[in-house]
Amino acid sequence: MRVRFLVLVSFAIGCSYESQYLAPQDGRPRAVWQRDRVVVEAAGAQLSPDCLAELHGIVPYEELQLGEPRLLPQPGPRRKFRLHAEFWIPVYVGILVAPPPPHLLPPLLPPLLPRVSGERYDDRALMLLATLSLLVLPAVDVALAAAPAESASSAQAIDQVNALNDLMRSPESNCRYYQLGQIAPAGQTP
Amino acid sequence: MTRGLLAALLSGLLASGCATSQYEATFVARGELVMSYDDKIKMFAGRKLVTTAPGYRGLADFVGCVEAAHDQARRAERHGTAGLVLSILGGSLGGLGAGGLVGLADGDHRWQWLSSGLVLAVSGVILAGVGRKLRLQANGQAVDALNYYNDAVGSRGLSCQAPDSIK
Repeated sequence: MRVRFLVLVSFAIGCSYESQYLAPQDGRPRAVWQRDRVVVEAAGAQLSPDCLAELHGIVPYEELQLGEPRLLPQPGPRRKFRLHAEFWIPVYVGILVAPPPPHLLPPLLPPLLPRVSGERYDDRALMLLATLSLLVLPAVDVALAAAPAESASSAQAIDQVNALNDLMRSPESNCRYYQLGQIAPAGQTP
Repeated sequence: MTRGLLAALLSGLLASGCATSQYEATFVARGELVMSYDDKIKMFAGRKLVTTAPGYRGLADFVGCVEAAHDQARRAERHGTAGLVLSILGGSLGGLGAGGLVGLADGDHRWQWLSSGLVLAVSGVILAGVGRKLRLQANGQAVDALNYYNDAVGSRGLSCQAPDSIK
């Protein structure tokens, strides 16, 4: 039962949606879903250098947002850190918190963290840990809840697909779509 | 460290929330669905807004005559709505969890405050994470619905709607 629950939770949090859609190779570029973002699927369209230059002139993005992975730049030289046997002292920058009057206490849970018997220092360390968690976790909550689910590159991919389709449907464009049997101008492959 | 983490989270939030379409499709078939992006995915047909993320209300009706598209659109509606609800719940729980900091000032109930705040904040992270995952799933299913519909109907100048509803 517990294993089944854990599998369900890990599936719910970890696994992303994998699209089953396969674009027919009909030469009409599409915006498709891949690895949690929208990417450009050329779908058999001939994207010649002239065509891509025209696209770059319309939507000024440096990269075509295709689904293939791109090479990352070489990392710079590693920096060395010297560790000192000191404690970092956190600085509290939030609002001042005043205790509420006793009759205004909300229903509270019993303490979950076991009290460390004996030394007062450990108690303070636990409190520091809990305080830091309470400062960070709400910010993570709000960021996760409010941030758009898609990545910013999706907007570029959508623009590029719309622009490519417009170019392919324009008779005077270098991206013009050729039907089978039609003859392409010199230097372009239908 | 905390300040740096908060700054990174906020800058990530702002950076991911600023994306907007710079180009509007011009040559569109009559019933063709076209995507646009303005902080969230939007879908248009004949320059009329059909649906937006994350709920994708109205998409299933619009693509109803293409079975594969209709199935994906209904899933997108379901997952998008659930994702939105969970995200709101997660964010709210996170805000409430911050109230646990009162324990710093209330020495008599310190650990009760801190424990309650932590439970709320951790629950908020789980709910917001699952909510985000569902919103992503809804986006993928809506994009699939658009493609199935355009392949079968939209890009051919046809539509599932009455002829005078799209111009």
